[in-house]
Amino acid sequence: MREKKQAKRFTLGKKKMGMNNRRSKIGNGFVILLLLLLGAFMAFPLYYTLIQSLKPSEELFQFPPRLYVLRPTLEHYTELSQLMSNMWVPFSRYLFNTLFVTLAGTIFHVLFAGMAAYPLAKHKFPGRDALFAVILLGLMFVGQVTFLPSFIIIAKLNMLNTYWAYICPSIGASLGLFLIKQFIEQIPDALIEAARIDGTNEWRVYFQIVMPNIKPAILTVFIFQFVNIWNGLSKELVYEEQLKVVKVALEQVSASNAYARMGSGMAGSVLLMIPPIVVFILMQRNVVETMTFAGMKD
Amino acid sequence: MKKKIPYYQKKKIYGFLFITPWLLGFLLFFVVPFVQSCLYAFQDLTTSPEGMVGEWIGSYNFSYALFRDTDFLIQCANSLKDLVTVPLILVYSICFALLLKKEYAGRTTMRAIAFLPVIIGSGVLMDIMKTDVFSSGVKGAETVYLFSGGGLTGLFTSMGLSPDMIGFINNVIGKIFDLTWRSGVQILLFLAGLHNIPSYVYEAAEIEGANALEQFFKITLPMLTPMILLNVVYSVIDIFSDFGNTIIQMIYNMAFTNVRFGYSSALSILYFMMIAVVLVIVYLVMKRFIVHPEE
Repeated sequence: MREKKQAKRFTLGKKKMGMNNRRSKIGNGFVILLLLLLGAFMAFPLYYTLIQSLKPSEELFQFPPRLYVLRPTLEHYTELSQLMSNMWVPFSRYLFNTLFVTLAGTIFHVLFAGMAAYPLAKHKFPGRDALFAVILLGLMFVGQVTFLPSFIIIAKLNMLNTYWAYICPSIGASLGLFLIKQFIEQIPDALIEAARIDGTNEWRVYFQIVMPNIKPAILTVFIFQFVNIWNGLSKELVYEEQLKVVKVALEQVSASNAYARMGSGMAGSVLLMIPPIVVFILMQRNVVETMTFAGMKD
Repeated sequence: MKKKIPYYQKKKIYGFLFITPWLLGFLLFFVVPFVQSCLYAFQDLTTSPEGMVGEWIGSYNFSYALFRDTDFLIQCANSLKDLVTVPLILVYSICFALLLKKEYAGRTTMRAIAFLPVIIGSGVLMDIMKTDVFSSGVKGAETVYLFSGGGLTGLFTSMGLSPDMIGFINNVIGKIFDLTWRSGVQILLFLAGLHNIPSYVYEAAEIEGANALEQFFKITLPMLTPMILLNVVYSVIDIFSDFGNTIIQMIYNMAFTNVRFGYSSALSILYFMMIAVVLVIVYLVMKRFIVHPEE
């Protein structure tokens, strides 16, 4: 019964969105202007890279760099595609590697971290607070600092030179767990109790009650983790050419001759930015949708 | 015949099953390396054909860092100064989240832009930005040469501004960059927090005659306090653990350039103990202000 009531409240809340958005036109214009200004700051680096990648070489090396391009050209992109097609591992293979590793890492992380966050937030067991303190400690440590011991462990597990070297470490990342736990704590206990009294087992409580209610958190963590893995794949873990990721391959191409290929490096980094942005745009619509009926409180 | 397991025991089993997969990953890829680097901190490590050889030297690394390496403590003190930006980030991201919550055309685009720093902040682009726009990492506001060397300085000079003024303006621009580029996650979290506040609370307040300002200070802000704590913790950790941070660089270089793994481990442990102390203080101070809407 309780669930149904809650569910009703969600839909009501959804319809009522926009009720408290009475705002004068001038105010609205002001808000948009402010947002545009700040947005310009945030979007600038994106614009700058794009511009740099479109500059012909003689403009690219100008110092100080110009904020606009006089003769836009796609020569760096064609050069990049030529370089890539000349490599003995086809570009599609690198792309597949990256997408596979990133998606698998992200999905495993979101699934497992979410599952671990539920008992941490809603069950009482001895050592819970101690465990959470250790997790917080995990948040504070940067990967680079424990890189050497982690590398040794990955080597000992025989994971070097496999996809697992990329996928497994992301399972145990603590940021996602921390965020999801914080959101689960806000779900009223009554909702979970109600489901339990109706005879739902914990498995279904998590997947059918808790998870739908923290969808925004899960999607947020999904975006984070996707971006983190996509951008953070390090070249040390995998040295088999067949298994390398796009980022490393691009670095090899442009860094092997840093100045001569600066343009194609720029073009490559523009291309590399596209997948995270696409994922964000796809997910973002969901985040916005789910957020609108997250208004559940006792 | 199925034996009936009591409910509370089932719950325990499920809880255990839920945590296990993640915990395994956490143990293997965080706890073990962490313990390992703690052990390294008490050793003098050298590489040899057989691999790493460690010699136990007690707390020598720590005492060296604290009493003899003058650089380390100074760097630590410097990084504490960066905490000033935390309140700025909070105020900025609350305001931005409030703006993004309103409905208007192009909201989705704006949200995407607000989140851009998170999407590309740590990637390849950042390497380019570091050398071209930020010059010395996201933090270095002083040397934004794209502005100082490029069009802007020329523009300001022709406007007749003194070099001091131009330096100041460049600094401000750099700081704004810093702020916008550090607030992506915080904005998103606040946005989620804002949407978690039930709309009937606002409706009730409106019927009672509360104006927008009162609504903000008496409803929005108290209801956001759990999110504020979360964001403070996140921002502090983010600032301290930024790879552009000089101290992180120092630790990293100590390990991979100077090949003093033991000393580098000792430094990182000391540094993160400092962060932990800061976080505990933050938590104890903020705990009193947290509003629990359920109670």
